[in-house]
Amino acid sequence: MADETESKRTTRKKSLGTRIVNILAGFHIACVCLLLLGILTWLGTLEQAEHTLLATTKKYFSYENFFLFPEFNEKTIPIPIPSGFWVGLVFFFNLLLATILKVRRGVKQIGVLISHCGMLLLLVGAFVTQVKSERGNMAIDEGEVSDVAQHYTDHVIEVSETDEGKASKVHIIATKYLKDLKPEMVRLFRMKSLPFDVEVNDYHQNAMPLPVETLDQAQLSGVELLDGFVLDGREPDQKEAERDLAGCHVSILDKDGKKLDRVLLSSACVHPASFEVGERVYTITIRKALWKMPFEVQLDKFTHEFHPGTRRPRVFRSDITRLEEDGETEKVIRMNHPMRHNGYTFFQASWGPQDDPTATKFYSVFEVVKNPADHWPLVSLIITGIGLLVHFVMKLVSFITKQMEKNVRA
Amino acid sequence: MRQIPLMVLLLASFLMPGCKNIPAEVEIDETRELNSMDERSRLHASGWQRFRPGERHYVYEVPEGWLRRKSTQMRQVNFGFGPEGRGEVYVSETRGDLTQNVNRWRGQFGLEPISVGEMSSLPRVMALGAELALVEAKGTFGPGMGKDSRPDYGLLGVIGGTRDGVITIKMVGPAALVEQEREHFLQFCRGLALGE
Repeated sequence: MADETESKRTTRKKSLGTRIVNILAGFHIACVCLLLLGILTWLGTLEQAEHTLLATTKKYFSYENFFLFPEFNEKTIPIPIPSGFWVGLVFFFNLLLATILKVRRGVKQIGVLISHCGMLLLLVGAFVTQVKSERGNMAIDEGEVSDVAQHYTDHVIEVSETDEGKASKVHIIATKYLKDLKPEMVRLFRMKSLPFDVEVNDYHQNAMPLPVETLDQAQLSGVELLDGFVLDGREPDQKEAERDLAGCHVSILDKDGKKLDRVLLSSACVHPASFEVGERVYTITIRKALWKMPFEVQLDKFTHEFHPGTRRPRVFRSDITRLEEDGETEKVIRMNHPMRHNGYTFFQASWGPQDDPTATKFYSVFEVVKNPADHWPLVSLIITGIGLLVHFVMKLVSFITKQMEKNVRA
Repeated sequence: MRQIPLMVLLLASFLMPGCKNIPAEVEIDETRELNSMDERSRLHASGWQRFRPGERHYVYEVPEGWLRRKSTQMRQVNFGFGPEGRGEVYVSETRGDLTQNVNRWRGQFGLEPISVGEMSSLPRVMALGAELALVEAKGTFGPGMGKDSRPDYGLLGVIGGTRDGVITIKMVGPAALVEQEREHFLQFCRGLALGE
């Protein structure tokens, strides 16, 4: 009797587990995920017309949000929708379980298996893009050369050792140590290989240094004035986070904690702040994180044309020369025709000066993307296409064979 | 059923890094390669050179007792002083020639205009790195723009020509107060310079 009860329990356990797996690998979840991804893409496309692509992509597809409230015509729709990242993750596991457990084995199903693998690769590619890709921009004046792109939103503090008036080594306080800082917080950065430490306070994600002349005495009370400027903290831009310019106050401390200098930092600056410790001159600045390219880009010429009588762009074109150790290559980057090289993709993003109709010298701005999964969508589409083609051909052959057999019998 | 705790654990371990708290002290040993932007950095740059490069501005010391007022389109540097801030000092950049401006000031005090020749006989003080004309006036001050006249007022003004126009440093207020702040004003003028 006891054995019988135990056996029943095991059966119930197994059947419950199987039922859960069946649900997780089921067609219903796949349909809901596909529907949600479609809705998210549609709403995101509408919303990015009002906000920037960067802000909208972050809102709709970042892993930082579980849910989002879409906006339409500048009004928030009070219906929470799960974020694209999490929908994609659920869809990935659903597809993986379905591929392992539900797709029937056999040569006849090889096409379906191939197309499932293609879709899984697409989702893995999306995940790799979300986690590993880097985006930034590179602005170059005509005739100038650059080898560096800057991140759209992430700020870092750079402390430079100098030698004969030039930076010789740059130490980085990374974004991860800054982005949780609030104005009332203080954080001490122990500089391992430098004879001083850096203490950051009054950190604002978005701030502007204002000359003291723009304030009256009452506004100056309780405000720290450094080098003729005060830091005016502002609300972070919710719609265009790339416009945010971080700022903070920094104390330079010796290793015993004694204050040596105090400076105001703002990423709305052209030059760093300088200070001396011992005999040496150091600089410190806050800026959007920089990443160095393995090659240089020289902007030879920027050309822009609009459709007659409109401001609708017809041609935005940058003639560049790519400078590498083994030689120079002339290239053209224009709208929808990026330059792909060495794992980097350069898109024509902007140009200037746009408000000066008499300008004869221009600058061009490229969006630089480093994405290890750059080509994965193409590869996954080819795999999925091949899988569907194989499946279709096999079905067709099977159908024709059956028809022929029927005809022979008749 | 056994898989559920495992899945929860996996999900939690996936989410945990996002919840990590950063301590109040962090050791930094990260560096980056030098790049073309580093070559453009300037050492020992002033606040204006760092945050507002190329923008015209003044450097000066603020005398004791002067209180800042917001700059305006017509007053690049602006102070108040004395009881209720009745005295004011400001640096302006304006158009016209020196004599026109001096006569406008004199006119505000009901004084007769002076000629170009008489301009050269005005006393000189150091300001903006040069010897500039000092204008003094006392009497009833009519600021114009529909404002009431103010009796027993005084003016100390320094004026100099530039390539684009005229720079003026002007102190206006109750005559006794202006006289009291005269040394501060002259000291301010001596220290005033155009910033790089």
